[in-house]
Amino acid sequence: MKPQFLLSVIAPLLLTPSMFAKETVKAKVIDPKATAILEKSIAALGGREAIEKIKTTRAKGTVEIPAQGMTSELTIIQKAPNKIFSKMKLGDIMTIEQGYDGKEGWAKDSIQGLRKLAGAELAQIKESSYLCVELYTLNNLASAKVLPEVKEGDTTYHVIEVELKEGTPKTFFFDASTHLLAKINASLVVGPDGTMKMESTVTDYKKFHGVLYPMTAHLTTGPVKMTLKVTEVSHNEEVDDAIFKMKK
Amino acid sequence: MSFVGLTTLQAKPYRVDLAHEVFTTVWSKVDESFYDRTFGGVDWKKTKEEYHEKVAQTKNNEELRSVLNAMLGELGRSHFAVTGVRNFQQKRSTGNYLGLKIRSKDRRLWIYRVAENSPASKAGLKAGMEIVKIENEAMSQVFDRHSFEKDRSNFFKYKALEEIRVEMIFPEDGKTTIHIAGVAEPFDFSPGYYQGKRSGNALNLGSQELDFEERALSEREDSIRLMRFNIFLPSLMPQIREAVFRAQKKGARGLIIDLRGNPGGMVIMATGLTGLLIDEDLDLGDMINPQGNLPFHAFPQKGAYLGPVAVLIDSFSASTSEIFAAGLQEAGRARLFGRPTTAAVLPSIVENLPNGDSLQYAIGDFITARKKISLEGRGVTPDEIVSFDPKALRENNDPDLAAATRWIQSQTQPHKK
Repeated sequence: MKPQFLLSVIAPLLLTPSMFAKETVKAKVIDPKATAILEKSIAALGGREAIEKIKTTRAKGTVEIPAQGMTSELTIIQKAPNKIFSKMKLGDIMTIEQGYDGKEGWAKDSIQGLRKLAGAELAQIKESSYLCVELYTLNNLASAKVLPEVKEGDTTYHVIEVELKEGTPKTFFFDASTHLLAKINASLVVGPDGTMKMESTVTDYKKFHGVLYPMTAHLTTGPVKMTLKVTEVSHNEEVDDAIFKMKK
Repeated sequence: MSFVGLTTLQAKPYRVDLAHEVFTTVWSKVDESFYDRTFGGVDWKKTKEEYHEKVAQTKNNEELRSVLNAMLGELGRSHFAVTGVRNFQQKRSTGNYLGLKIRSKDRRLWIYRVAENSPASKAGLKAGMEIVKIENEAMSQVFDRHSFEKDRSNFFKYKALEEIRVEMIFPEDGKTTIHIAGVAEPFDFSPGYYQGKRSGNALNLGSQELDFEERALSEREDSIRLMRFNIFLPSLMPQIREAVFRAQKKGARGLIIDLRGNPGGMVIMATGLTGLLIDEDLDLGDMINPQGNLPFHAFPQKGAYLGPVAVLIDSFSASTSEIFAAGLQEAGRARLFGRPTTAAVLPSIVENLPNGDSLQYAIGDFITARKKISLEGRGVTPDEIVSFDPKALRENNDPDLAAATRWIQSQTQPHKK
């Protein structure tokens, strides 16, 4: 489950219509020590081979915004290599759907209607469509460097700062003992010309089809805090491509 | 915007330790998240010390609420408030609905609108009546008690009038008595249950009363059409969408959107409605805070109405109403009629407090898209200012609507389908 994508799906809760990345960065230095950290995290998840055996993922869960007393239902369906559909029911307020079929991205909700995604917004959903964020990052690096380790309580984190061929810079924190991704700090582009800082932590990894999957994500942007809890994950089920296509 | 009396929360009994916990929560929330890190020149840490002592002197939740709101008031910004459920347990059995809207001018108070079949209408109250006494207290005293001063900003006047309205909803003995100018006998009435449509639960705002009106101003097929709604909540979107589509299908000469008295709601509704009035993307403005900026961007929707749009506003048009009106005005998409708005334009969220009360706090400032100005404390000024006229209300005339109608009739722009 990609915290960054989750935030884009629930963006209307933050009273904004869209959230996406827009920058294209030029190729810079890729520190082999940083890629080694990413490689270790992919191995810790179950390994590249196991990850690439997963052709579809269907995840169900809830998104809680405790301070606002709200729980929403979320479904995300992905199909390799790069198709995604999400549906989020925000209590009694609205239902939001987004999709990307490998070429065309779209968003639909009961307030803003149906629209085709373009430009940076399209780039954002495209980035979100890949099944494994660590693998996608490794395959699309424009630059990567290692930052000093961070110690919080008993946990030490390996920290790398990356820029992808498309998208804004991100800082990844990997648990030094498990090598699993634990935290992402990113400055997301929101709307045509906005940016918001976001911190997300991922925890509670569970294994499905030989690959670990984070079951909980905590997202913070300013005073707004939300928690995603995944309740069901299934891999390699038959998924009809029609669900990813723009609704008529 | 104020949601007083509409929450579904239940207040916990007052306890000193709980009062201190609530105080610390409120102060800390603001300390951590206030969008202006200079706190507008207010020494927020010193404020804590000052009000901490006052909390120790409170004896019930109402007094605590009063201290907390005084502390938040030091910031001088809208959308900072602790709201509770005054006499909620009592009012749950009798309701908290009057069906009465009020407006003021020069420290005088008038009935602005009376809902059909409401406690107010059953008592015989009508729009345009001047309220001269509430519970035998002259209006000048009532205004003084609520710090309603002539030279204060619209926002503070709005707050004071809201307090007066709430006072009428929650009378001491369950019965409100008001005196009307020129009428000898006082009017007695008790709040009742709201029988109309309600919204679903929207975040921590609870279920809200919904009021929607749509009509043609004449018999002509292409008549100018009017749409009025009382709050920006998704529960009203199907009706709003239908009304705009009808204007589009009928080739209406113009669409008048009446936001007078609309206190705002969810900002996404402003971008949604804007999308029904445009054929190109339109930015209404941005929320700005230390984390960045969040654009309120509208996308064109299928079946949009592209003819002339007039928006009616007044001193009770607040928050999302102001964002919508300012955005359309700056873009030249609508012409505004009426009176300057409330000037309370800060995106905010509402959170529960440990004692069952709610804290509303702003999470950013709002800056318009083109002029790049903050509307907080400034509000939106109509293109055509129309004076508030109680006599017109009594005679069932609407000078704002008439001005908007005249403007639309003067437009030669062909209606685009």
